[in-house]
Amino acid sequence: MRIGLTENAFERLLDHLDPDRGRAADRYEELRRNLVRFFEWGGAPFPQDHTDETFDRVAGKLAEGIAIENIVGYSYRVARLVLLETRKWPEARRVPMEANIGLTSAATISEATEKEMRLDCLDDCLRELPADSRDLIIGYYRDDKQGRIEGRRRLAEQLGVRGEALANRAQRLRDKLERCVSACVSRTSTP
Amino acid sequence: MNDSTYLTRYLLGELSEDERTALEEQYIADPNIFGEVARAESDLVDDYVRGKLAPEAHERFERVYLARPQRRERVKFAEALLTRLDRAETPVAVGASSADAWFDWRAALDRMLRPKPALGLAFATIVIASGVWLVFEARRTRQEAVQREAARIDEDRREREAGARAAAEKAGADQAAVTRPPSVVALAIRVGGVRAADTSSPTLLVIPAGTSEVLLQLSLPQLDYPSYRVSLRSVGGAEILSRGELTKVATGSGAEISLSVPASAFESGDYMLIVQGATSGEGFEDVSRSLIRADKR
Repeated sequence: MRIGLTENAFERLLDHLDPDRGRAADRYEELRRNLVRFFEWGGAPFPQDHTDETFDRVAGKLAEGIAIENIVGYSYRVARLVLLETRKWPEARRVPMEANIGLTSAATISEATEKEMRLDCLDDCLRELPADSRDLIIGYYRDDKQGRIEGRRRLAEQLGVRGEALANRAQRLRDKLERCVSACVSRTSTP
Repeated sequence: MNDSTYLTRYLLGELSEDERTALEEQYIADPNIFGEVARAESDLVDDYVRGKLAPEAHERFERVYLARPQRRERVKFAEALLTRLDRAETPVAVGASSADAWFDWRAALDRMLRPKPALGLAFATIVIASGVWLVFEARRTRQEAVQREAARIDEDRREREAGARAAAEKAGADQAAVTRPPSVVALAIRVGGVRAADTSSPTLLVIPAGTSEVLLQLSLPQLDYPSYRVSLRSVGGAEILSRGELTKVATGSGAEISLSVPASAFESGDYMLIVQGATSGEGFEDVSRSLIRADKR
């Protein structure tokens, strides 16, 4: 049975993430994004719903007064159980893995309009980034004729950072940009 | 550190259950490995958008990876990002902040429109007028470029899809029927806005022979119920689907509910899709009725 994340339970969850409310909210958002990704990668049919389910169960344990030291690690372990359940009982809420999508009717916004809207949003989001971050994301993800690995190695040299650090920073920027574009498209397309 | 090919195989659902479990345990415990999977996913999506995947991987990507709405959104984002990046042809000079050529006109405009108290009114008027012209001109030019780029991407995509289809057909002919993966037909329906029955123009659902499942994708841009109930019944006949406690998932263009129905549940004929939203009084109210005409071949 779903317990549901009540306001009190959510407050308790935040308290476990960090004593500072601002940092706790950031950590919650990050954990949520990572759990959604975890379910996506694991091939679960409804990553957002499964993430909610995970938080519900964690909140349930907190409500029972169970002491949890590492709330992030505990949440992942719960998420893993939820993921295994979706694999064990796929009939319950199944969307096929092997999809061969061929839409027979279109959404209200045409594809070309949506593309243009997304490009406009991307421009706006790129403009919000500091110039050095823009340069980094362009340098890291652009199509390098000498190959991806060599191009990124040269970029790391130019910046004087390790390849791993550069890769992490580029991915964080990309994730941030993707969230910004997604929110912008959602705002723009909602009447 | 994991091999990127191995991570790509994981993302495309090619690993065995044991391998998959082992990797998930690794990246759950180690944020660095989690980051590696995220980076491998970005590179995989970029390779797909740029048409750099091998035919088998390309086909697998479309069949497995693109089966999820969230992932399709990720691909759309990558299409936009790479369209912009690949257009910046000059090499990146780190720290020079000059690589993003498409920002030049906007930066110039910003500088022109920035308040300059020392300038006289006449000069300010000229600047503003020039700025307005620049805005419209730049936007028009950009829109034309976007349309050209969108057409180019569509053309590239069609060519790649035709190639992948040909490869898939060839591969399919070489395999026994029992090894063929189940095929799925997806039907997207916009729901909501008008709570009256929408039975004037049925939505056609073609179910080719060999289809195993029908994926219904219900777009709910104007609805905001805590949960939904969906049922599908043949007109004048039995109910073939009933699902409750469904919640919508945010997508780039709104929100949607996806659910699958075995293709065997359909016969050729008309079906009524009823969507209900949960009300505060623990009841449900009808939010949409849509007529679907199934054509089973």
